[in-house]
Amino acid sequence: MSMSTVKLESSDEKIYEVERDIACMSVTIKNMLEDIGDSDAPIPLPNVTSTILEKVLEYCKHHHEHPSPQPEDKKDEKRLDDIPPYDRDFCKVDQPTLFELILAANYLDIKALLDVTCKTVANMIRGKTPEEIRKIFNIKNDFTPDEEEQIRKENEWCEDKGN
Amino acid sequence: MELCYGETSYSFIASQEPQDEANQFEMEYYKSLPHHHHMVVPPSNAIVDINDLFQQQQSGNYRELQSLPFEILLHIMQYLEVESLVQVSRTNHLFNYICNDDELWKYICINKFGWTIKKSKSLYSDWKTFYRSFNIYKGSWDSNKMGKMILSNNKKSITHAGDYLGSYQSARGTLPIKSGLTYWEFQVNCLNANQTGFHLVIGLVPESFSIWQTYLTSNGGWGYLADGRKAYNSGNGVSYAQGFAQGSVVGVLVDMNLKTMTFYHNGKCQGVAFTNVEGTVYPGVSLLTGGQSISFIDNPQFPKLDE
Repeated sequence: MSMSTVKLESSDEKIYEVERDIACMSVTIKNMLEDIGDSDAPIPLPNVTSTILEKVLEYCKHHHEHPSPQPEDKKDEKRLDDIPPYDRDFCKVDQPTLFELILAANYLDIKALLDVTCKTVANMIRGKTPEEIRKIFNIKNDFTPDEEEQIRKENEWCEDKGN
Repeated sequence: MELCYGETSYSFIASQEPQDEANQFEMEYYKSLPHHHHMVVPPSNAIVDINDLFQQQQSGNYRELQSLPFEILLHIMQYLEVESLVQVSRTNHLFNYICNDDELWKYICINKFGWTIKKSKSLYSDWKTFYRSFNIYKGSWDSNKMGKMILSNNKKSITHAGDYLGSYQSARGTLPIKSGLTYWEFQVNCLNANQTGFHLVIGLVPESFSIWQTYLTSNGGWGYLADGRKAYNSGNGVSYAQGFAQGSVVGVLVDMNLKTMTFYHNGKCQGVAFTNVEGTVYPGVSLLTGGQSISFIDNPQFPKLDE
């Protein structure tokens, strides 16, 4: 007999009781549940803090209740402008939170969340100059001026490519 | 995490071993992943030791973009168009390395140009170089290499100057095609309904083509005729594809790697027409009667090469 709820334990040892279907939107959790069979023990998620787990569960709950009308078709097309409004708002968080969400989505294997968080980062990069990208993400320029010039030259082809 | 590169799913693994060995669960997770296998082509400008980059990267606590695992950074980069990718590669060594990843460029190439390009890839050492071999033709009509024709629209449009029947006039583009894959599109501006076949020929001429008051397939040229026939170095066409008409958009793809030429009619691939395209060639056109007109279309999209 399958239980309708499961318990998840965050890295800071908080326990969340969630609907099984929602928890199973994470392939990682789904596989673990299959492995352990019927058990009341909380599933340990040592890579996910309670703050992040709550966000992830909020995301899963929303999408469980509002299933996306176009599931997975055209998944080969990497489009940046197709982020649904809920997801866009969901990703309006500071950078550390966004990166932790990416890591959690990766670890928990929730493809939709991983895609939308990665798209959000890509959108922050898009159309920016190298210097702007460095500022936004606090990237240290470790090129020498010569290297910088060399890489700029190597990439000149891109400017008049036009395809 | 699975990154889908079309036909094959590549399971990327984190390039780092977990540092916190006390964390048994994390260890299990990392162990379950396959071995790192895809970073094969270091960028030509990799002066620093790549292992150093990843050691630096490991020390991060995932609060910054550059401390994310390699495969996640690759996943993010997949969403960027090439112009942005180039900007990212100019930020620092780590991102330059990631943005030159061969699997990333394979993904970009296949996603953009389609599966059948794999046939053409064999001549290139890496996918980024291969990507660079795809070009949209940037030339216009060469005013020194044409018959009695009138140029307009920044030399993108060409019109037969005569007002009488039966006088072939040909022209070629300004820029040579020598290597890689080149695509362009013509718009047929003026072609009367009763003008077919050799009345209008679209195609390629070799460097040696020099008699402009004749049709382009007469002296070593390759052509697609208005009635759907094709002809190479001959006044006799053979059946090839759908014919085209006034208003038609005819795309031309020349693959110098495979020596092939393929035509598109209103976006639809008509199949490979020729498999013997060699040497230095130019886009060419032949018009038969006064007023017939054809233009290079500005900034066409490279077609997907899957049929």
